[in-house]
Amino acid sequence: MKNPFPKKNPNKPKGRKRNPSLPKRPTTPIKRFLSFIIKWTGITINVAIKCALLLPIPIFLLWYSYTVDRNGWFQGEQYEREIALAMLDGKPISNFEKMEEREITKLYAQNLSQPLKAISIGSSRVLQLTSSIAGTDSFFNAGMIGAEQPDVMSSYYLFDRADKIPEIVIFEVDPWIFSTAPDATTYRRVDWKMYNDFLYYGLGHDVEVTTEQENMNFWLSLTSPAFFQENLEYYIQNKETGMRPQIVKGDVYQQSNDVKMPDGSVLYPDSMRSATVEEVDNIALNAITNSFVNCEEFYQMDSNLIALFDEFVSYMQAKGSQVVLLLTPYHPVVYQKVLEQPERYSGFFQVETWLRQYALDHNLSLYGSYDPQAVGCTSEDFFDGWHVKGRGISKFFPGVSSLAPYSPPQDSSALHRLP
Amino acid sequence: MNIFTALLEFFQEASKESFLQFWNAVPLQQPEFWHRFWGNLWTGSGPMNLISYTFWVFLILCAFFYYLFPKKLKPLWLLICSYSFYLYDRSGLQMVTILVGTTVITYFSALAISKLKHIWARRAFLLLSVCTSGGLLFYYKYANFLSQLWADILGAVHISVSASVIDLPVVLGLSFFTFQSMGYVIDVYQNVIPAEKNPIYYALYVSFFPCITSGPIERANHLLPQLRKPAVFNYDKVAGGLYRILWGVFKKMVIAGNLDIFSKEVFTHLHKYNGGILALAALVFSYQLYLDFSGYCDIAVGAGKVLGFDLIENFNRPFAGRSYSQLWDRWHISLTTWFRDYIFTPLSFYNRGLSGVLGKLQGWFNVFIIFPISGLWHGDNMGYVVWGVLNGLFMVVGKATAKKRRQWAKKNILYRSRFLKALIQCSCVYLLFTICIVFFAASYYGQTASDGFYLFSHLFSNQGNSTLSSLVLVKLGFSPITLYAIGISALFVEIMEKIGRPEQVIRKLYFPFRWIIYYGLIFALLLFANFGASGFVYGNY
Repeated sequence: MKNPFPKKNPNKPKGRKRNPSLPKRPTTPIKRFLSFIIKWTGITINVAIKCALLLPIPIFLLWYSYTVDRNGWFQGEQYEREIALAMLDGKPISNFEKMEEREITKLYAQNLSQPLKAISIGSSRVLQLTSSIAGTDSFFNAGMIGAEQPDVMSSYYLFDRADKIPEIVIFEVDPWIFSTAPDATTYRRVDWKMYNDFLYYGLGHDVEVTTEQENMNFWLSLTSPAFFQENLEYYIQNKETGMRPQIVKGDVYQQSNDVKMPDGSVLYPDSMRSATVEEVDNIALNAITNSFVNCEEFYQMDSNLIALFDEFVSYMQAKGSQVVLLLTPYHPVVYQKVLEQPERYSGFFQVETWLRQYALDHNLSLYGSYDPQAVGCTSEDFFDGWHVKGRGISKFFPGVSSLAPYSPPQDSSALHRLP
Repeated sequence: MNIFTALLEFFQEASKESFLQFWNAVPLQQPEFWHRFWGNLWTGSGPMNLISYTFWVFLILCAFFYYLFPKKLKPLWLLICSYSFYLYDRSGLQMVTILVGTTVITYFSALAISKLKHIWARRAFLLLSVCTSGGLLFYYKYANFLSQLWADILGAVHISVSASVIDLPVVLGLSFFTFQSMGYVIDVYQNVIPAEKNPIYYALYVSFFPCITSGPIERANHLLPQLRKPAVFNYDKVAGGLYRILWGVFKKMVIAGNLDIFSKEVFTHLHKYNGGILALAALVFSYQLYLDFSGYCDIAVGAGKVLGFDLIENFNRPFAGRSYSQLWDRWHISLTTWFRDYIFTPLSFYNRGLSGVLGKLQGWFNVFIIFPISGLWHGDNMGYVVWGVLNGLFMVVGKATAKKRRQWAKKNILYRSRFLKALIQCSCVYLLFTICIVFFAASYYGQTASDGFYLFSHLFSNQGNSTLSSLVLVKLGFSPITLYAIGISALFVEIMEKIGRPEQVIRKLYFPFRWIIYYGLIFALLLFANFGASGFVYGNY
């Protein structure tokens, strides 16, 4: 078989012929070294110039995202300070969903001239509690939309840190703050830095505090082109629709968006306030058919969260605040549907019984119930499946001037129904 | 307000103070920032994406040390980089084992083939390596498919068997490195090239990271000589390579990425749309696939050039092809030539004795069979097979009627205008290609081959109440300016690629024009790219 790879002709000169037009290679080692240095210095300068020419692009990317700041990470504080001061000045705010509520509450607390008589903490389920229902003008509703257990505790700490400890804390206790199920612990808006500070300084837990980690992550996200596009879109949207929060102009009851009132409570838009009972019932039914918000897979109250709750109440009492537990009811349709599924919501049913016993044991005030029937609320007292109207709250909460320690009701119909 | 006026307004509102506020706040001088930035680069969750800061930093580091190291260390360094690229994915160890196994077996088989004289001994080693590479490919890609197929066949004759599903990982670049190693051994067997003695060179040839994930499928006689003789730093080549990467990213993200939003919506909800939209989606997908895959190949070729290598060009403006065979000469060239050299040519050689009608039929069969195999290579879905069969049929019909068509063309009045002739021919080729691609698209978007047939059967239906404008502008949220940008970008790509290879064209331009194009492409990316686009169409093969 013919060898397909014959050996090369030994007489053939090795390598390619050098192009005579090229400069000769330096002969001595020093010359070679110098030539090497000159060549690479030239290349380095060339590359540096090109990098410098490209540099405006990443700088612009960062600057733009930093300035537009759709998440309020960098520009938020200054803007929210204006909002907080406006609220302290007695002005209502619209489009407040866009605001960082924690930041507003912090700034509100910091800028208070003196401590308030009462505050309320909790989720959006307490946001209908106004100063007139609370029975004092020295009141701020620090409830937060979508609040989870860390949010609720941090919100009181905001007042503590600002050295504006309120006399009375109306603690709206949602059942899910005792749940460790994924539905209750999505931690969508939790300010972990604040929560860790609270655990460390407030409760004396051994946790890592005040890291710069989150802050650095914000800066790193500025390098993302996708984030740049989001900011660009946000900028255009804002310019077109003026979606940023602003002080309400005109009649506060004629707004098409939610309005944050100066006392922190929320005034829902006219369309929501004027919904018929049938419409609200349908909304509630659809809501519970979808899921029992934050309470899915809640089978058992978590012992760690119970201990944390106890610590938190003790901490508030130690700070000199009188703690009032408030249970806001669910819509009758929702409660009925939940009653029909005792196994699915077994953890939920444990909460109210436990809270009543806790209030009794610790001599705390407790008002309301998750069961609307127990507090005399009907469909007419609700906006939807989860949110009771102010007049519904008035049915069971007498105001801060008439507080009394909890005692079990004599009439069993005033107690929550259990499966 | 559109994007441009928003940017203009931003600059008008911007002040020196606002910039200084930003500049003073940005923590570039804090080591923590860079520490976290560095840490975020190497998350190791999933394979390294070629369109990510991670890959670009990896490539720059790789190239920097590559040019810094002495000649003898360069291949070893590249090999380390290639394996690191593989091991970046936390689950990459199993994949590396497969890669190493394939490399070792084919390396020794090729050495044995080159040493042995006896034909049967040589064939035995050839068989061993082909079975190893092919077997791995077959097992990892088709085990579940065949199991299901078998169960379906038995089910058809009323024998109930449940298909056993094996939990197999997706091996990164399996189809590519197995084909490369098989091609190498066959070349050695056919005495086209000598066996590579240096295991580092060979291991690097099999695992060379720019092309290992999604091609091009390199050939030993093309890449190995370059590996043996590492290139010295050439500024123009490196700069050209970087531009080629930018070009690829632009094609993929700005055009293909946005078209993907449309195609995906239609192909995953075929029943919602009328015939016009279905037809448009099919036409769009052909172009999207081309730009997606050729964009990827641009990145791979560019990365190769940054390291001083010339990789095989995988595309040559396929839709400028005037006939179906011309299209396939320009589309996925590395795979097509692989099939030509290792399947078509041997088949033709063994059947060379046949003549007459039988010979013709045999010739057509040889042309045809490549395409269903190619379809199977793309994935374990009947949609890909149908795509292959249709392509094979079109090729055979094209070959069989070529003479007649040439005769008719001479009499065609429309063909007297060169432009019209080109337009008609290219349009016909594009349409034929689109007919096939419907099945490919259905498979790619997780549908079945029957969905492809569904599309054809509903081409003239009026189902669904969505109009094209409501779908594109309202549902998918495209702004008119984005649509213009996609159109202009596509035109720009076609014109530039007609002139020549992107890196060659750009290097010929004067400095200011060159930089205008750089800036234009980068800003087009920032403003219009679809950063949420899924991976490359060819990313899983």
